Amino acid sequence: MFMVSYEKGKLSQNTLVIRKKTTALPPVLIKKIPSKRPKEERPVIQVKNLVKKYDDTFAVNKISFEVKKGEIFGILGPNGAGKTTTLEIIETILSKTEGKVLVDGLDIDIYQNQIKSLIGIQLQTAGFYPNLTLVEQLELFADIYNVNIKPLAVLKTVNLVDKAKSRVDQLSGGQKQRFSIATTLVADPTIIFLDEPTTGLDPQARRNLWEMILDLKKKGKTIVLTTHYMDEAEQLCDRVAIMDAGKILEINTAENFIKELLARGFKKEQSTLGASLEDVFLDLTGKNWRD
Amino acid sequence: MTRNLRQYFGFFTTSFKSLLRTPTAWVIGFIFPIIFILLFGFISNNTIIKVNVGLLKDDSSVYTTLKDSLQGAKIFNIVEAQNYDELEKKLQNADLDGIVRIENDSQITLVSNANKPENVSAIKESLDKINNELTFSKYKISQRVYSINSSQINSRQSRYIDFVMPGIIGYALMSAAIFGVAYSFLTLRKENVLKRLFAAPTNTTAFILGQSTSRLLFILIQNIALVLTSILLFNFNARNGLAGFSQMFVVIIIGLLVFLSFGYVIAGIAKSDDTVAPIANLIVIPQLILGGTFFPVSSLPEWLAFIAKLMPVYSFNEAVRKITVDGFNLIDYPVFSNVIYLIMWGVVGYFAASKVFKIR
Repeated sequence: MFMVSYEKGKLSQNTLVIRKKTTALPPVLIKKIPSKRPKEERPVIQVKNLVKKYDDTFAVNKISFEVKKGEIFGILGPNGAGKTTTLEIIETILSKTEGKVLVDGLDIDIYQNQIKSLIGIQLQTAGFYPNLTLVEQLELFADIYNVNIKPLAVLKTVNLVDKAKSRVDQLSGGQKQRFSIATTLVADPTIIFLDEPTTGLDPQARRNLWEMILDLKKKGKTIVLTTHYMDEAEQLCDRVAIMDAGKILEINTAENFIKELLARGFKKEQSTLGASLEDVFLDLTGKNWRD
Repeated sequence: MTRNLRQYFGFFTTSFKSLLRTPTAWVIGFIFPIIFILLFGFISNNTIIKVNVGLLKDDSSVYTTLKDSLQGAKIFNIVEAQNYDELEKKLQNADLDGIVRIENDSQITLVSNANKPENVSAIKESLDKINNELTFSKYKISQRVYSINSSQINSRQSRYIDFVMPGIIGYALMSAAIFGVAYSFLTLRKENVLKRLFAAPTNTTAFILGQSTSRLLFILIQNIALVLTSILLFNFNARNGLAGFSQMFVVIIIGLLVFLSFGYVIAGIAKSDDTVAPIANLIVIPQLILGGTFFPVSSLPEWLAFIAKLMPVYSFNEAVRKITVDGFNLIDYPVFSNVIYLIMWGVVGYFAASKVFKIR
């Protein structure tokens, strides 16, 4: 019996080269784009000849409009008119094909991150991180926006304090919509986008949401919303753009739209009753939140 | 910078909390592996691990008799070679427990691994038996003990649980990393969570790093729990004790980083739930079956063993077993070479992920 030892094997030195990926960052914001008009008068949103093309179809076809500071601006139109596409381009979520869009004087092509910090977005189809409570969701958004908030105070503005420890999938449709709006308020934005905020809600929830939106306006926020409910536009919007097939047909106040139509000799069959079925419904069921 | 750092910690804690509350993350990373550990732990005591014997090829009739007898014993996995150095190298790497050679037409020599006395005595027993049966009485058996320059000699019997535990850890972290990343990103995309998060000024790097590191920590905790369970229930042991365990966890972290990249590749390729499962299974199942998880690759036919040895989980299993079963250290060639191979898979994985993975 004898022992043999061996030399440890030597391994040739391998060199791993890891290339650092460089992403093009937008230039640092030094000064805002100069505007000829003084700040107060300058529109908060300026859209000029905006085009969004998918293959051969125009989702948005050369539209232009402006949104004034502190107003509620409605984009009204049937499904597929291009409302959401327009909104998402302004929100810097979607890329545009052509045109120029300024948000608070900032070009959406360059200042995407600055714009995202200025605006609050309620998406038509938003999802939230799974398995988190509402408070935890809001804390995550506070981290993203780098702001300090009191989650319960934010939930109070949308009347969801008693759901603070619930998860999003445990909420009803109206509660989800309100929570979605709560997430837009985290960074105290100056401009708020609401994409069909009341679709699928019961009459009570709609009316209460309207009150919430009007409250936000009172706080000096500029609000852009889309809807296909005429009564909603009439109740909420200072000005309305009517959109169809990717084009804006006309922009006016609801009152002027109606006046112009009547001036053209339009006559509607008058209801002999002074109330609608919805009025009856609300009278019977009350105006309180149902969820 | 501080803003991105705050986002990173935000995503890290969010994702970690979410993982803790996701039942499937526990099933894949903890419950399934625990079931395997219990199954194999309770049946392991009677299970024989094959003893690896190297035979130096020879054209004498004695060689044929020798080979036939060893094969007949069924507990040996026989590796034949023309070249003694080749066998000796395998012995040094503890891929063989002993080498049997016929010398000068008169002597059968056994060179063996001192760390595996139980396996060596099995070889010796068989050789004695063969010698009695051999009509050529002139053959004598001599034995030489080959001491491997690794840990102290431990006479503890190596049991199936000691073999299978590293494999189960490999399986657990591979499936948890691959399925976990692929499914969670697909869900986040499909449920429009990514759309909502990136409508806010979310930094992509902070988001991906927060996601990845929280998952890494989560799976690491699961693996620690698995190892503790197997220590408590089945006395799973690593050679060199704590030093062995801590080196094992270094390999575990490297393995996790590698398999996370595979998850990102699948999340990039698969467009729906229906495609995630087939693609992920295509990567996980062959490795689970062939990569040396439950039985040694050496028991496979040669061509299949060749394929198995290309798999990243094989290198992972090998690296861990060389530490826990054979007592090598990270810097020793048998461990180091496998870790390097594993890292090369990681480089490939992250390169592919950077090409196919998109946030939206």
